[in-house]
Amino acid sequence: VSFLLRDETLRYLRYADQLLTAEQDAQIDSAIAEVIECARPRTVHRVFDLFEKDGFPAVDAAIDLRFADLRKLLTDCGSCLLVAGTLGIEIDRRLKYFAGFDMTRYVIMDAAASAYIEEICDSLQGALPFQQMTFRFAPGYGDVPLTMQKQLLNVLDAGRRIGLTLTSTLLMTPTKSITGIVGIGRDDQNRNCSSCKRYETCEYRRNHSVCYQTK
Amino acid sequence: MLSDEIVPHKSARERLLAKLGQVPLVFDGGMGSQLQARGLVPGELPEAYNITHSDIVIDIHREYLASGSSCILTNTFGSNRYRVEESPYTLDEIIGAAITNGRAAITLENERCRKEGIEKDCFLFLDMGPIGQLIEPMGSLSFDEAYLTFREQVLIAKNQVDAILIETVSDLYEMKAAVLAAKENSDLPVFATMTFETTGKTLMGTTPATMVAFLEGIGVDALGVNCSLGPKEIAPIVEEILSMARIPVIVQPNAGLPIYSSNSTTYNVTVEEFASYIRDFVQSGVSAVGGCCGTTPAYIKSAAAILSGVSVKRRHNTAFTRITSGSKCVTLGERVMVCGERLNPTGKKKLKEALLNQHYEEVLLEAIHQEQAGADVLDVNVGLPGIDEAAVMVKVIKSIQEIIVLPLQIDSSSPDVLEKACRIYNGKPLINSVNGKKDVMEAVFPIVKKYGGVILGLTLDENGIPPLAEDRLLIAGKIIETAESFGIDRSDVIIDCLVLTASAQQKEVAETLKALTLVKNELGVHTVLGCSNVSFGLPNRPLINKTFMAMALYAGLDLPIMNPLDKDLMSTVDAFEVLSYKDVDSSRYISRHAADRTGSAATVKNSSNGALSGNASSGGISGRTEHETGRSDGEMTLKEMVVAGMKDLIAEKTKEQLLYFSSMQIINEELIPGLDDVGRKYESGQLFLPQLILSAETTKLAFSVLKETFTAEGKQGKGPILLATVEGDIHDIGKNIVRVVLESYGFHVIDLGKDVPVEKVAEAFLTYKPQMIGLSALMTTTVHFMEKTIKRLKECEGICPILVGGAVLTSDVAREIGADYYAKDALESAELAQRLIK
Repeated sequence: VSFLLRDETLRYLRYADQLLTAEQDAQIDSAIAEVIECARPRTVHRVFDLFEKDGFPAVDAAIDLRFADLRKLLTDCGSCLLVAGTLGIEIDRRLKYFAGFDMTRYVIMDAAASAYIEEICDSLQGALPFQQMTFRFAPGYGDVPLTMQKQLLNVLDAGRRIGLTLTSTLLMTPTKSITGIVGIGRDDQNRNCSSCKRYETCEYRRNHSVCYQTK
Repeated sequence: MLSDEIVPHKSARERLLAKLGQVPLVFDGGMGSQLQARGLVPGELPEAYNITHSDIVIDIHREYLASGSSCILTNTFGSNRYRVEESPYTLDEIIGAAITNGRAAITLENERCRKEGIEKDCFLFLDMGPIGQLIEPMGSLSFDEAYLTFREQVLIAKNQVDAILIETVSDLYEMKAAVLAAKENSDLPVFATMTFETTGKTLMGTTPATMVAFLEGIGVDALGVNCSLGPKEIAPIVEEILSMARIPVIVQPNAGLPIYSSNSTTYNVTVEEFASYIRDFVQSGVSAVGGCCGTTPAYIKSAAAILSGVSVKRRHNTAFTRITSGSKCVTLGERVMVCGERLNPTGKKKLKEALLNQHYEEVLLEAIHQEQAGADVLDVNVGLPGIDEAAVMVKVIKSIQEIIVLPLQIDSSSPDVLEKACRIYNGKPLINSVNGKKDVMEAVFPIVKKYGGVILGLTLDENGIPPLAEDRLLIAGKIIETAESFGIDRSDVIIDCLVLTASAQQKEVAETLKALTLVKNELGVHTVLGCSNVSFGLPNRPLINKTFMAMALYAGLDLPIMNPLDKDLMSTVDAFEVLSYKDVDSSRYISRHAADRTGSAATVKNSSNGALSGNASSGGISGRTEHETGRSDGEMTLKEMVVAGMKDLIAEKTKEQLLYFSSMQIINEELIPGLDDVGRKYESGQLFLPQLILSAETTKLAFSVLKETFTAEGKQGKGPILLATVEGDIHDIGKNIVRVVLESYGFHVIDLGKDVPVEKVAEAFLTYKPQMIGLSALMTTTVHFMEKTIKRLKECEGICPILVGGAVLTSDVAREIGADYYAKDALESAELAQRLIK
């Protein structure tokens, strides 16, 4: 288990330096290790050249990027990366399994799975031959509606290629999955929490933290 | 448009099936890639081209036909109601246009062939791809909705196509919905292919063996693999399928692995390489070939050319007895397989109550324990007086299949229950049972034939259980013959020669074993026995049981139905495998018994082996006071155990304390103060979430001990509280955490689960009359359902307080949608519940 994955898992659990015994340490590691063993990570991505249409960014694909927050994200970017990743369905089954009789392990594994899929997509992006990229923006952030998930997954053919689908209420299944839009050509890791729907009630913010990984 | 030279479709079916398996059938290539090459933009609905660019679609079909395809697929891969509703067209329009385009291309090809004096028979297949939503329990689309989605496609097309191809499916359950829709609503031939990964499994975990067993059982005309990978990577999967399948096999690989560049996708296998793989496939026994992503007409042309004069190799595979779940296949005879008998309420008070009160968590725990103990198959029996057996059976099967991948044995004496269960079961089940009675066989065999399954036959008939082995053999023979007359292969029948109790019918114990050996040797089918009855009425039953087990295994028993939690019995099976030279090099035995030093096997995993599961040596979670650490558990108070999360020890300690204190004293002076302490430490940051939950789980265990005394003391648990994650929402971790925290405070919680329809919540309110209802929702898209649920609940007379929580909620939103309370986390929910429910 990498330090990074462990740290991220603990961050999702709002860990704030409570001391752990050696045994508890090992047990957290074992839960994370089980996530890694059980996960079947898969990703799919495509890079599109960006052009401007009616003052908004656009690509040659059936996806509507006409939103202020995307205009901001993709400023000065020549192309953009559309990406989706999932840990697969087995991890959902496993989480549900533990929910019945070992809730403690269940919550640790749930957090570890969330951290792991982020790590998978980060390392995918890291391996791409682009020097400068923005942070990963997802439908549902800012003024971009969740309905964009449909277009994004269709463009990537994510259902067929990695088994990532949406419910009729636009939730991703398998649940441990992420999607994203990344600008290529400009280094921008400055996310802004102020437009987040959870801004007022955010537990991370209350603890002077953020919900995403900081470089 | 149907032209005159098209022969009526009834005979198209016969012509197609006559060719299948005799000459290689050549299908077309990747329609999607061809459309993209001609202007389809990524993400656009390819099926809209049937209407907007019918010339292009016809031309692509025509090119494939001219390249040598005789079977083409309508451009309807994603033509289902969910995908089409995003377009301006109706499903009828799109499928109708797709068929017209396909027929037009075939007419053109027929004309070309006539002119050139070529004799060629072309077939149009309705193409059905996956719906694009996961079916419950893993997703939220119901099995019936999936079935109806495929059904409407079949109904639109059935009179105008020659056959149906269901393709690129990863989920066996979705495949089942599609095959049933095709077979129940048309008499067209059905071909079915799934898509695999380099791991040798589909994205949903289905193995080739599982697919073959399932699709042969449900009765498709050809099965195989498409898309997935290139021909090279697909070859081992094809080989595995060919080694098992007893019906024609179809293979449609991609043009290699994709190489993505900025705005295009290419594939890494050349036209010539592709063709040579295709020839190898046919020479190994594949009956129908074609291509998927990236296979242009050039690929098909090259493949068709190389196949001229090549005949399909005949295969003669032995029939094996296989039962499956959606992903796992159990082959009888590979080794002794253990069927867990414990999911059966007979003689089990706790399970009986759990089923009657719909507390399915209890039932699931029973399944989990058996799986952990090493069972290969689980028997499911929910037969109880006063229960809706079919409904409960369906519910229990779905719940088990959500978390456990073992194949199930559906156990009921009612054909109606068997039918309903077989319909929604994911995989090829073991069906328990028929016997030699004519009316029973006539009621059950059609179900086995329709859905596929292995049937368990009991050697008794209208005259009861014959005492002599030879007479039981006769009944077994009659069962197998009758099954065959219904079109069920004898490999899909296993025989139970029936164990009698040694105390009452001592002489007949040997007859059972004799019959078992006879059935196995003379009829060549596998054998099954429910073993534990043999010892009934005798002292030291385990001794009789394990001795009988060894005898039965030696007599040829393949599938004991037994208690897998009985370590001695399980160990007897393990040891038998070694001594009978089935467990070669004793590797399985060693892996299961290496840690066992006492000589009596103890491989049953402890269910509380999870992270942070407390025990005496790990007592000192930081932030807990020093004197709590390093103490032996004997000195710890219950309160301290709660704080330290001593999950493994608290039940014993609680029982001990009950000798001195009343349950109310224990709750008010130990458990609740302990929880309050944990709550304070959590709030102040001395403990974090997993530690809070561990304490909650620990307290919950103490409460379950105390609950047993409640009934004796005439008290009830507090509550009940109803919890649900609202309709449309499948994220339930928040609700689950709230549940365990509420339970730790002694509340009786009824958890309706996730994605709970509005009406179900209202019904549950009326049934259970809870004192509080908690609803959770994660996304903005599902808060809307929360509002609907609250509105519906408020119409109910005497409605209780409604509490809401979840990621996107705030106190303001909660007020707006009509909730009575908002809780930011599980502890706040518990505080509120304590205030509201006295």
